[in-house]
Amino acid sequence: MRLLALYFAGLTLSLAYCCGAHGQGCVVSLQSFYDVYTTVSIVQTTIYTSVTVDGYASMPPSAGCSLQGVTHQGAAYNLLSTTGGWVYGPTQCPSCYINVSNNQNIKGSPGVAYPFHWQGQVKCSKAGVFFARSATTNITDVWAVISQRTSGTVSSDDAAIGAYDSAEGTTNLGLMSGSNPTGCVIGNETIGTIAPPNYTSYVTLHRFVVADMGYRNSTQTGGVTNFDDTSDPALRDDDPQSGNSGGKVYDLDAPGIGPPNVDGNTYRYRGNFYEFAALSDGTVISSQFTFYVRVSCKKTASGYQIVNDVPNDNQIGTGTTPLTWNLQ
Amino acid sequence: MRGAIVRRIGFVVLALGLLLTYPRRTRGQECDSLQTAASVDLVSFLSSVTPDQNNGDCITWAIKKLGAQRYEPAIPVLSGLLSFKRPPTEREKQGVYLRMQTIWEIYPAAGALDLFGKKALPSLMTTIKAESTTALARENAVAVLMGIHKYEKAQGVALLKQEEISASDDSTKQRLQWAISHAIQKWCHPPDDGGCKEAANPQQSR
Repeated sequence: MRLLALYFAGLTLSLAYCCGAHGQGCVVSLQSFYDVYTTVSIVQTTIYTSVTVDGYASMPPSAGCSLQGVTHQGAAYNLLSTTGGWVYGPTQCPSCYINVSNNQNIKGSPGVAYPFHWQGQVKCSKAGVFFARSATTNITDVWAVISQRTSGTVSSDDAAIGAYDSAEGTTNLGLMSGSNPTGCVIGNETIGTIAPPNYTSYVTLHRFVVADMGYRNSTQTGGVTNFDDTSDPALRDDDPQSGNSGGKVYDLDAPGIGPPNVDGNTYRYRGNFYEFAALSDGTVISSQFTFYVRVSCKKTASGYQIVNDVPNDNQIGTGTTPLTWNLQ
Repeated sequence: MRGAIVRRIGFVVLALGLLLTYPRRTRGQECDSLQTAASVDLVSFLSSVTPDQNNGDCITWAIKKLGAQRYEPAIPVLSGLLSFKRPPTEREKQGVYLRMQTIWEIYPAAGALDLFGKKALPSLMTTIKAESTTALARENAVAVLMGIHKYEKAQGVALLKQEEISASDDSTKQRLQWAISHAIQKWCHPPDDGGCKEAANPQQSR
C-alpha cells in the first residue's frame, strides 16, 4: 500500500546566479515534478517502512546560460523509532530522473506505537534544497492472521450476519443451492485474528480476484483479473471488539454461479482469490491468504442444482485452482 | 445568481442530450454526458429521472458517484430511490455473481446511503414513516438503518421505537411498529436479539 505525500507540478523557481563566462546574468526557470512516497507494512511483529523520492525537474536555461557543473541530488530520510537515517542518491544532471529509496524495519511488540519520521528532499548544487516534504506519524505494531471458515454457520460475533442472512436466506456456510442463494454458491467467512487481541481500531479485510472465469458447459463466458472484490461494508465486521470478538474482524462472501435460464446447460465458475487485512490508513497488517472457488450448476424447473460431472469440482480451498472448465 | 441560471440551462441541455441519445447508446456510453457533471447536477438528474430499462446504468452510476463523494445534499433524493434496482451486469447475465446480492449491492441507493452513516438517519426515518413510501423502499430503509447500526443493533431498534412513541398519528405509528418488528426479525440475530426486543419494549424491561 502506498501512503503518500506528494508534491507535484507547478513549482517554478527562478534561480538567479552568475554563471556566464562573459559576466552576463543567467536565469533558470525550474519546474519540479517530484513526489515523496511512503509505505508501511507489518509482518508478524516486524514493521517495514520505506521512503522514496521520485521525479524530475525541467529547467531550460536562458540564452547564454550554461548549466555546466550544476548537479541535483535526491535524499530520503527514514527514521523508524531509533533505526534509520538519511540515504543520499547520486549527484546527477539537473534534469535527470531521480529515484532514491530508504527502507527500514524494526521488530516491535504487539500494541506498542513507534514513531516514524520521514523526509524527502532534492538539493541543487547552486541553489541548495529546493524541494522538501516531511511528516511524523506513529505506527502501532498490530498483526492479523487470516483464516477462513467454509462450514457451519456464520459466527455469532460477526456483526455482518444479518446482511449475509438477508442475501442467502440462511446463515449456513459452505456449498449450497436452492432458490434463495443466487444459484450454486459457496458461503465463506474470512477471519482476521488480531494481535494484540485488545486492539480497538477498525481493520478491514480486503479481497481481490487474482483471476477467474465463467463457463457455459465448456465455453468461456468471460473473466476478470486483478479485480478489487472487497465486500460492501454491510458484509464486513471491521470492529475487532464488536460482539465481544476479542480481536477478530470478519468478511462474508458467497461466490458462485447462477444459471440464468432453464436451458439444460451447465454453468461453471472457477476463481482464484487472495485476502489481506489493512488498517484504515491502508497499512497492510497481514500476509495474503490465497484461496480458490470452483462451482458447476444447472438451473432446472425445480431450482438450482449442483453438477458433479468434473472430478474435484464444487469446492473451496486454500491455494489456487486451474481456471479451465474441466480443471485439467 | 446569473451563474446559477447558466448552470441550470447547462444541465437542462445535458439532460436533453441524454434523453435524445439514449436509444442509440450502448451501456458503457450511457453516462458519458454525466461524467463531468457537478454533484448538484447529478442530484438534479436523479430528482427528475424516471427509471426505465434504458437509463438504469446511468442512474446507478450517478447514485454510486454521489455516495462515494459523501455529497450530503443528495441524501433525500437517494432515500427516494431506495426501491430502484440496478440492472444486472454483463457477467451477471451469464450467471456469474461475483458480488453477493445483498440489498446494498442490488439497490445502489442503499449502498450509497450506508456510506453516509448516521447522517442518513433523519432521511431514512422520513422514508420509513411516509405513507407514500412503497413496501420495498420501506424494507430497504430499515435495512440501511440497521446496517448503519450493525455494531449496536439495539440502538437502531431504539431509534425506531423513539419515533413511534413521538408519532402523532396512528398510521405513522403502525408503519413504525412494522419497521420495529421487521428490524428485530430480520436484523437482530443472537446474541443481539434480546437487546433488540428490550429496546422495542422499554417499559417491560424496566
